[in-house]
Amino acid sequence: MNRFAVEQLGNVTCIGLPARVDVTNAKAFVDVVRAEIDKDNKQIVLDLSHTEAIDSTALGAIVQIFKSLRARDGELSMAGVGDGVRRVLAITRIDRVFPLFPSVEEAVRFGNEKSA
Amino acid sequence: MRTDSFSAAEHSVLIVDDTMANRRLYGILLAREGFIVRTAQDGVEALRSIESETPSLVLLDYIMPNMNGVEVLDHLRRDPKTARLPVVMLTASAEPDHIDAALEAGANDYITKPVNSRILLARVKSMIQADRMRGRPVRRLESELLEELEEAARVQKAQLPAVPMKWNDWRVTGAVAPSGQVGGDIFDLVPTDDGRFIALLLDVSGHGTASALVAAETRAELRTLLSGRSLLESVRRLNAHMARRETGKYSCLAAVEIEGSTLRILNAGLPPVAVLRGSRVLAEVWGSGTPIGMFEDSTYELTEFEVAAGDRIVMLSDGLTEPFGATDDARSAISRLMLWPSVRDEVPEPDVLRTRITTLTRDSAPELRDDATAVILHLTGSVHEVMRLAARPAAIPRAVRWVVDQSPDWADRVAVDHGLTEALTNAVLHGALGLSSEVRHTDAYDEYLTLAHELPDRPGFMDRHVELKMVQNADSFGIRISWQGAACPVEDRLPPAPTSIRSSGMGSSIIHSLFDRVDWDSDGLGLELWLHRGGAASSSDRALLG
Repeated sequence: MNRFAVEQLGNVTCIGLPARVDVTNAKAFVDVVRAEIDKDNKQIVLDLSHTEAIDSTALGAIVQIFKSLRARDGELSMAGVGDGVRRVLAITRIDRVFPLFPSVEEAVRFGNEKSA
Repeated sequence: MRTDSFSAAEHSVLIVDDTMANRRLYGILLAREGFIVRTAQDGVEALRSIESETPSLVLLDYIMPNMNGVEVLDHLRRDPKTARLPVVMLTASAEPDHIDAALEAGANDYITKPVNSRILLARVKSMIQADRMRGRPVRRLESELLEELEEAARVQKAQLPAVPMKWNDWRVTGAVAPSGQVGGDIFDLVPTDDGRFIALLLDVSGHGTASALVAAETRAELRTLLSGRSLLESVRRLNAHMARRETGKYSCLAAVEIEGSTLRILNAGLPPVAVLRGSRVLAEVWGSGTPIGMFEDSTYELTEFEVAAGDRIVMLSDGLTEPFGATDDARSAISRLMLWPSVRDEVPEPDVLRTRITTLTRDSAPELRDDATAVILHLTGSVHEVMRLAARPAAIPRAVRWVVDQSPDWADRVAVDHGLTEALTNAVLHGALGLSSEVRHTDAYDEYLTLAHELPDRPGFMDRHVELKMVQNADSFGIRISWQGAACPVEDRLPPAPTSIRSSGMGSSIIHSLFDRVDWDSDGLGLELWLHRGGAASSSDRALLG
């Protein structure tokens, strides 16, 4: 079972994350997203609707992806961020680095408008 | 290169053959050579025998009723415990397909029947030797790696500053409990030449050796940068340097800079740094910038405070907050680690602190297990008064009056009077009667008080005292009650516990309801009572308690 479900919605690539992203699956996560970036997909939305927790390694992985995308004029955003993850993003101030959307639909609409 | 001698007596061979004559023949040959021989007459018996004790090698007949050799082999290879167990298959020379099938099923070697005794012994011996050689380098590598990790852990521990440290009126301590042999958490205490003191807590992303290396490097660089530079400027530079290095690692950093009575706090990515005054959290600082090394162009900000005697600052890594709720919930961890300010004006000994951390994090779910660190800075010198009273009920009213008269204007004096009377009665009687801490949970509370007032002035007891210590700072008022120089008086000189006492906790409830915070000592005698300005329990609430 693919724990990182990839879905193409117009110009936006939506990647669903599992309940917990940590040192055990952070590399797999980066590999999945890198594969999409290599296909020249520049608008990427991470769907965290089902994600309860991320650890420091996962956070590092997200930042790595953010930087890779930024270097290619792409954009990373997050959707459906729950309380647990939001706290981690807040104390590390990463919530100010890239956009957070309440739902995947809003993130996808934003991404498609930007790439139009 | 050293070659190890081979001793057949150290190895057992399981012979699996449905023909008794064959079992006997192979058994005699192998036993003569010194091997320990076990036998099984079919596949089921063989698997049972292997399950109970794994042999060094299995000599397995191909054709057997019920379960043939290949089926037995298939079972063995599926089980991780026996997946690499050496197996030599005995096949009929006239059946080359059997040889292919045996090797395909995972046999290490085969011998064709009729068996040549020299070939049998040579194959068995060489196969066991090969298995030993195969295992050795891995074991040696593991053991060398473990030794290196232990050495690294010793070095990492030695890099931590000596604590508790005194700096002016500050007492500072800290402890790290890595989740593995080495970890990415580290703390440092840096007194500078220009009269500042900086406490740092670093938590490098990930765990293990790579994180430990980055932590050590980051700490060394920050120490150098802090010489002659402000905390803010040092952190800015450190961030830029780390981001350019692109190690793939970043450091969450909490730093407290003390200069006179001014405190500056920066927290980039760690759980809130808490400033504690008495029973309250005066402030929490977090989100001062992104973790160090994450973005080259990050900006950072400091939060400034004026501190008062008795104030305490607590820094925690997320290994101490995440398992107990939310990453940003420092208060739960502070309570669980018993880090609230104490009237004793002391910080916990590092060993005590480390034990508390280890105990707290030991039962965390494996996925939440992380390096865990706490650093505490305590400003001593809060105003306090001490009095001693004889450990007798008659001495209690005067002691209570002494405290009430000196309590701050904002304190509810009725609450102090009632609560302290209960607490002192508990301490005096509890100690005097030699009862366990369960005494304060009694439903026969009247009986308890009667007993107390009938307490005889017995010899050996008159000289005992209870100590009462008061502390006041900006907006907190604390009272500490403890037995002077002893825990509980010696029980064999005291009357036995009354059997009618049962548990309910009336006295304890009264004490807890009248103060904003109550901390009991482990002996059940000593305790601390705290009130703070604008405390949770209002006067009207207290009036209801009568």
